[in-house]
Amino acid sequence: MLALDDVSIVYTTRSGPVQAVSGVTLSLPPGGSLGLVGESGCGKSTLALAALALLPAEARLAGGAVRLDGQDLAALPEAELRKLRWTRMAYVPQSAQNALVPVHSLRRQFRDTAAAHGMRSAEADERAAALLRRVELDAAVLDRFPHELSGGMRQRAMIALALLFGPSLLVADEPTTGLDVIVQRQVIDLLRDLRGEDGLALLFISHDIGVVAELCSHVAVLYAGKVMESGPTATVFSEPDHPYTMGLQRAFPDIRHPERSIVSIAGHPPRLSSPPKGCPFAPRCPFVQPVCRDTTPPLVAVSDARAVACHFVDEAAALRERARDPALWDEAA
Amino acid sequence: MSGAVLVTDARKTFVASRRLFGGGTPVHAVDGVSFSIAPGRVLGIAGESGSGKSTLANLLVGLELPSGGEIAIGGRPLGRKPNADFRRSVQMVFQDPFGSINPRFTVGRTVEEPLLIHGLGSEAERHARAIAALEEAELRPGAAFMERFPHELSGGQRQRVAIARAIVLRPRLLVADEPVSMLDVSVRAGILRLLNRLVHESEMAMVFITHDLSIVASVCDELAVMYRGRFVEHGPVRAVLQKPRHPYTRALIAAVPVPDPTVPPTPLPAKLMSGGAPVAGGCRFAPRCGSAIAACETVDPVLEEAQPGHRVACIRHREIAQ
Repeated sequence: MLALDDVSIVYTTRSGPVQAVSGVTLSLPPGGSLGLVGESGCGKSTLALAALALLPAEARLAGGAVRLDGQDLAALPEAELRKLRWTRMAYVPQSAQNALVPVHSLRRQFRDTAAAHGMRSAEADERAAALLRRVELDAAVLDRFPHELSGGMRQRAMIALALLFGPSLLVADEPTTGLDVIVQRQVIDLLRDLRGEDGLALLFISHDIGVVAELCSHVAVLYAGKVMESGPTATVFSEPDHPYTMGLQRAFPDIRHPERSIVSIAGHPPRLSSPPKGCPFAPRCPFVQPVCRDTTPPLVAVSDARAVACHFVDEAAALRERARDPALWDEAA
Repeated sequence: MSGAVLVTDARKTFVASRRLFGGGTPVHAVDGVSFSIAPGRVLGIAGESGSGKSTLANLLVGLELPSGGEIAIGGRPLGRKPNADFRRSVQMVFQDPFGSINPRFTVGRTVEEPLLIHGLGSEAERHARAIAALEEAELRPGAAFMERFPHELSGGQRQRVAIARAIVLRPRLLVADEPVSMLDVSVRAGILRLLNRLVHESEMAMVFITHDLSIVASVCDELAVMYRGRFVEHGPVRAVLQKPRHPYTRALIAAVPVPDPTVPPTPLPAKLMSGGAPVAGGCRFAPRCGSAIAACETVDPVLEEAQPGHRVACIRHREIAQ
């Protein structure tokens, strides 16, 4: 249903163009769940906005196409897009606190949103009560204001609002960041129950591979605006083929194994105003070879479901073995 | 015990003034917390928002004054108001390396600032001490960083500058409040390891405040879990993580996402989410506790030793540990 085909996005800044996303190809089937994982500046939030045709004015689609059910979003006039948003696709941002109008009760927010798309207040109230029950909130919160709700309740109310028109795509950008861990669990459980319900597809953006592991059947690992690796979450995390995924996994603590040391990946991401030649991860990669600094490895399919952008993908098994040594990653960190 | 941190029954009560002439309900943000930290050791304090962990951090650095109890650092009591000696003996590293460093100051000026404030050393000495502190924070060569500005540095490097600023006075206690939660995952381990090394190679003690239980093992020796102003569990970090004895600690650990898609998430007790306010005189966690019994509403449990050095505030901890 959602297909990103060779998408490139450029931001115009005072100090020149910034290539935030370069040639990203992804697809999300109806009822599917795809996690976009990466660190700050990897392009994951920009991709989320592109999927909703909500890129800010200083950003432009410099190449490729974003399609929703085969329809090229770039070809649609703004009025058509506005109809699609909410009704076909909905967005849950990181901070629901800022996304809800602070001076309006929730009932008013549901009614206003409904009215913007021609739904009557009575119907909106009815839908709202049902949706709030669906996210395990008491319908009485309809008459509350956002500041009267806890962070977790606001985020669940936001999810309920996003579902008002029964969209087929839900884009959630770090929806649990900043929430307490028990409340986060509640929101994850809710999203896990919702995904796939009536064919709802979930595009989930996160820096936290633990949350993605719990929530998404598929994952794309992004670095410097490019897909490093993509595939089913279970196999990507159990047998990562890209050195960046291997490092990220070793950098991520596992509460079940407090004795295991976590690593840092030496260096920092490239500046996207002057992207380096070759593989963007090469300057930080412990397995770097001369070819990596010269030639950008294309994203190639390694099996039915998996794709990897690394010159040494054939040696992935041996690299995984070497990546287990923490000293490998920490030399310059 | 000079050099150690000794906190005895620390309390902080805020009175929310709901009405014009006071009379609001008091909030016991820190409600009788006692602990000590030996030199060269790290105590992690974990809890959710509203647990009182940040208020406790503010008490330790003298940003808030306690409503009751004693805080002594290096044998010096805080007394009624922190004096210059007390302020020198404790320094803080904040969560946000973008907000806690003045963007208009060079790195050198940022790190020298505490020395200036306390009137320490000549200009040349301050310069040399700032370079030494930067190198201790693994920004090498330190001299190369002195003239740089924060915007030229990565998030991890900025946090290292903040750490250099905190250690330049050679404090007895370093309080780190969520120092890696705003950093990228790939640079967190380096900062945690740096903090751990700085403490273990010196006489400095550290309090590490965090909401993230998955990182405490890489930096802390001991872990205390806070709930509504009190420690509910306190012990060696691995013992607490691997054999948690308080139902709240168990719930916190079970709620942490595991980076393994083949492992189904541990279900949490339904009461944990829905429970209301605690009953006066009872256990403050009882309304949310899946293991609570009638007695939990009438007994306010105190910390008692479950294992040597491992304390738990739960009347059922022995049965639950079975």
